[in-house]
Amino acid sequence: MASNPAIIKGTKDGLRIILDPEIPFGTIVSFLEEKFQANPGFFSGAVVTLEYGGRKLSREEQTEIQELIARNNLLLTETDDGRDEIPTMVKNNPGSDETLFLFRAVRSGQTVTYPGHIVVVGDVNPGSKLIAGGNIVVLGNLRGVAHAGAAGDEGAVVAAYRLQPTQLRIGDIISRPPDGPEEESHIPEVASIKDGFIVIEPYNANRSWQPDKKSV
Amino acid sequence: MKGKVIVVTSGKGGVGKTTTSANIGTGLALIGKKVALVDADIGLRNLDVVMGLENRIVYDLVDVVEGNCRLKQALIKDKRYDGVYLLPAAQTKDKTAVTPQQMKKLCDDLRVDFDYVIIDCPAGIEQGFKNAIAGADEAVIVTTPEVSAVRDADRIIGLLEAENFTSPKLILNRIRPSMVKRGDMMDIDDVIDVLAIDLLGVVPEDEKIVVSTNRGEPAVTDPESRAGEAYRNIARRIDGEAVPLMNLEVEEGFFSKLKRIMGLRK
Repeated sequence: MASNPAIIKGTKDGLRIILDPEIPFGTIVSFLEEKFQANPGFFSGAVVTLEYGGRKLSREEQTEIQELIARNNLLLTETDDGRDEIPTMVKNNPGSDETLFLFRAVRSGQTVTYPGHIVVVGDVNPGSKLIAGGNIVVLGNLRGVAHAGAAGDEGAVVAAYRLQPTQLRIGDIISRPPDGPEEESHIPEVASIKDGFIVIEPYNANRSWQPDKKSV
Repeated sequence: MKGKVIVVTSGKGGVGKTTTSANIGTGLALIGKKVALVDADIGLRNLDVVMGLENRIVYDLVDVVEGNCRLKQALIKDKRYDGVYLLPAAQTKDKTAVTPQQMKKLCDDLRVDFDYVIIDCPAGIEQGFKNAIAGADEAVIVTTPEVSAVRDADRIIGLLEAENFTSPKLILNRIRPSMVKRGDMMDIDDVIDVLAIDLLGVVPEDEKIVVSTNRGEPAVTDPESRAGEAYRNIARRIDGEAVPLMNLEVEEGFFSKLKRIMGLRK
């Protein structure tokens, strides 16, 4: 039974491209290129999640497929390969100022990656991950892992209505909540790097809050 | 009218999927529906034991899918409860013995003759899970009020939402009101706060479940069982009736008990 080199599914959050784990990489690339060229109107501007389907792609292969997607005018927002490294897409686009808005909860097991900023209007549940080249803002409970400034920007910030991440990363610095009984935060808070440490401050709307950036 | 296929899943093992499947299936039959219970846990089948039907298994789901028998031959009609039929899983194969497409066809064949098809999903997120959800219209997620179970349920909900299950429902199982009161156990609101799906029902911890499992008689048929009552209500809700949540706080305080013993109250 022949299987498709890649399956393209429509979901309410955009398209999901799932790569076949066995078929040779070159075949998959040609297949996708053909599909995108055949329907430019449909694919142009579409938001895409790329699933590697359990196959291990080399850096070159990852770059190739991500560039293929970008070239055809699609917007790649997530790569689901379950690995813990900084996704190529984020590394290759430092200083990106675009913002990704998600109007849904991010559930356990999901990873959202974006070279620019990420804004989630919803909760980020434990077991999920946000990786942004820029800032992260969660209008809800942030209970998963948030990594802002993933391409090395230590001026990035993480803000949430309820900041209760399992782990917080800004730039190359990792921080976790203190051991001991959980102190529930009931106010919005902002995390940023000050003097080489991740510091969490209450967000006070009256006080004009500025990131500790050299250039604004 | 075509029947409805409901998958009972959880992610985490041991939270009560099989018990829930047996009880809501039997519960629906008790209100007059024709129900097919399908055990999708190939290799580690349990639904037959919980239903007390293990001695009557001749053919199973894998036999049907491989064409060794007709569907009607494999379905076991429960002689005690009118309207309950069981399609058991195979104990000697494993989850790769069936494909999602085969499961979908099976569900489509079943829904012609039944009002409800309840699929007992195995634990996990791999092939067994994918098979079990393949033919389903709706999903019911079972969780206990524990952090690990809720984490897994959240993962499952994420996977279900990606498969276009628009409105999964939650059953919160094995809740202990006294522990919740003491702050030692998550309460309903804590769980819903994370999972954010509609609540189908809450089932209290009940010793009678252990007894009923060992006897092969679902607790839903026992008028004295609190869990059974919860499952009866859940069955009615599935059928469209608006049933208020049970008052779980019936555990007796000391003076209450004393009064009762002294005959001062019933």
